[in-house]
Amino acid sequence: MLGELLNDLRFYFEVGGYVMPPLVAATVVLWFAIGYRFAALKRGNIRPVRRIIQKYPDGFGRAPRGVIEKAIDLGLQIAGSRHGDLRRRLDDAFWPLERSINRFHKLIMTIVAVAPLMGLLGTVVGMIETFDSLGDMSLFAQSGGIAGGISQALFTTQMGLAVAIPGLIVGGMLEKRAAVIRLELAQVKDILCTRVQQGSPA
Amino acid sequence: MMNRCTSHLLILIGAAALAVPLVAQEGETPEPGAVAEPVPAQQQVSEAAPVAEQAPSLEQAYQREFAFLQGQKRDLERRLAEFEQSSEADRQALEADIRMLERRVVELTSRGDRLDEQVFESERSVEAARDNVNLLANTFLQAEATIDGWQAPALESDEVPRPDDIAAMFETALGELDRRGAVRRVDGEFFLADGARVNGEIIHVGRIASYGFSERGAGALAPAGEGELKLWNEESAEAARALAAGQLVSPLPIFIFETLSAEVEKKGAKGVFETIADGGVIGWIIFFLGLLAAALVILRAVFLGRAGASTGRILDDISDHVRRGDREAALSVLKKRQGATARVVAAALRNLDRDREHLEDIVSESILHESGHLNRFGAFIMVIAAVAPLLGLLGTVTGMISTFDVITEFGTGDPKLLSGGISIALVTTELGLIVAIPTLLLGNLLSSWAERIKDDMEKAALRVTNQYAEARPVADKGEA
Repeated sequence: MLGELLNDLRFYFEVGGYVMPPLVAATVVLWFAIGYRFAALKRGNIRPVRRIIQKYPDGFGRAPRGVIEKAIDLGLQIAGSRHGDLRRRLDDAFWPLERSINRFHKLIMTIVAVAPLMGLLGTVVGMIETFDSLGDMSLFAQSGGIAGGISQALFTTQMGLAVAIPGLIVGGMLEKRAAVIRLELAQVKDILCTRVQQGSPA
Repeated sequence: MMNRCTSHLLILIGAAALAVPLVAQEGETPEPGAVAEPVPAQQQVSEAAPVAEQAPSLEQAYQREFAFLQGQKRDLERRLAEFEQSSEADRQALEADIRMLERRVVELTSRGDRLDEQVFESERSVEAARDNVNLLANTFLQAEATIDGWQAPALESDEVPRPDDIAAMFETALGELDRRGAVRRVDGEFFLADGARVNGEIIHVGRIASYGFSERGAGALAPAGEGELKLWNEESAEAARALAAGQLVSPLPIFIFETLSAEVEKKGAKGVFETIADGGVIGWIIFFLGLLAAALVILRAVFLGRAGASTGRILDDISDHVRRGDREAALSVLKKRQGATARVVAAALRNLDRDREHLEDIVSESILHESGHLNRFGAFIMVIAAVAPLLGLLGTVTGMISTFDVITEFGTGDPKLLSGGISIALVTTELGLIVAIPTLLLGNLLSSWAERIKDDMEKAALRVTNQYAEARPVADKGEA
């Protein structure tokens, strides 16, 4: 079963011509990036932000589990030390978190855009082979001839789409999640700032 | 019929009238049963009778006359009935005759039709037989041309071939098929890859593939034109040796050919520049655009690398100074460093004492100042990425136009003539995509890098101000 699958994949790889290695590399990079984002975009706690801060007003007392928990932990520490302008210090402190949230998004979307183009390139290459063998009248040449060209054309298109479509779907889902987390980070900042302003006179 | 009846009647009446003066005494005897026409004649006759003789008794004469006429009438009636009977019988007989004749006509017509059909069919079968004879003759000719060692029987112009001949031909053809389908080994000559002709053993697999085995080289053979064979590639040498030794190899490397008369050229891989040249003028334009894009990408990557690489290290280097509140030392560290981040942080450091909004304005202004440098070439790279496929499309259209020009002039008979335009069309598309894909990829990544660097600069300035703000109360306290 697995052996057959590997055989099929190797066959596709060989049939697809020079477009296949970059396509496969793009696929690997794409899924690495998706995996990274998937790991980076864990909230860590399913409760709404306000509830979390209400429940743990003085920190978790344990290692934070996700982005939101990490942010709240960090924010509470900074709010506790009380000097300088709190909002700007929070901006500064949350910067690495925001960076890791946004990381690779552009890469994923770029690969998703480029993969069908690579498939198209393979199609054109296959068509060139087909027309070459038409021109030579070597219709069933050893290197593939008409049928080889056409199968290359179709396989690469298929491969390009097979890479792009899941990437597009998963990438879109991850970006949506990232947008939610970005909003929640802003919420954390707002809550902490208002809390300090309320608390500081007291 | 009617005419005959009336003429009979007239004759009868005439005869009766002649007999009347001889026999009858009384002339005035109107016949009640007689037909209207003869009445005036009878009257004329019977008017004459009383004048002729006034016989013994009028009564008697009348009675005699009456009896006679009665007899005449009966006789006439009888004869009339007889006549009617006979004419009826005649009519029936004639009608039967007519029916019989009609039946015969129908029968004869259908027989005629059947005969016509038979004639037509036999004509057709004659035609078919003639066709078959022609076909056979053609088959004989073809067999004579294609089957070695078979002689067609000499036939006169219209002579039909004998079954023996046909059977013999099929037998020979079958033998030939067997011979060609078989794997057979013969001693023969073939060409090596360097063009040398060597003697060796040739293993023919039917007539579609061959293997050669000799002292100096072995492998699958390909047609070299005019019935000669040449070595196709060296990789199949092992298989050929094994075949020569009588073993079976799996998988069998095989070069399948259709005919020995046409030489098979080993197609050398086309070089990059040949491919571009296939694309015509537009191919070259795309190629140079691609070179330009590559150069710009490299330049931009170098700029960005210089601008952004050091952000973390700059912060590490100056953070100690800033925490101590020692701006001069931090600025001197920054002066030694090049790069956009260093300049932005330095601008922030120089203005640390101003109020917050003012400081933010200064930082964002200096980032804007640097962003001109960071964005350099970015738009142009993306333009190339967008334009390259369009140029490819343009080349496709141009190639198609030239293809259709060729078709207008020469028709579609020769695919070789058409392939020029088609190769322009496809090669330009290919080149356009080859340029566009990496340019798009790298251009996007570079612009996201640039965005990240700008973001980093902003955050670095923010961090420096924060650190300074953290340090100041401590320093104030220390001074106090």
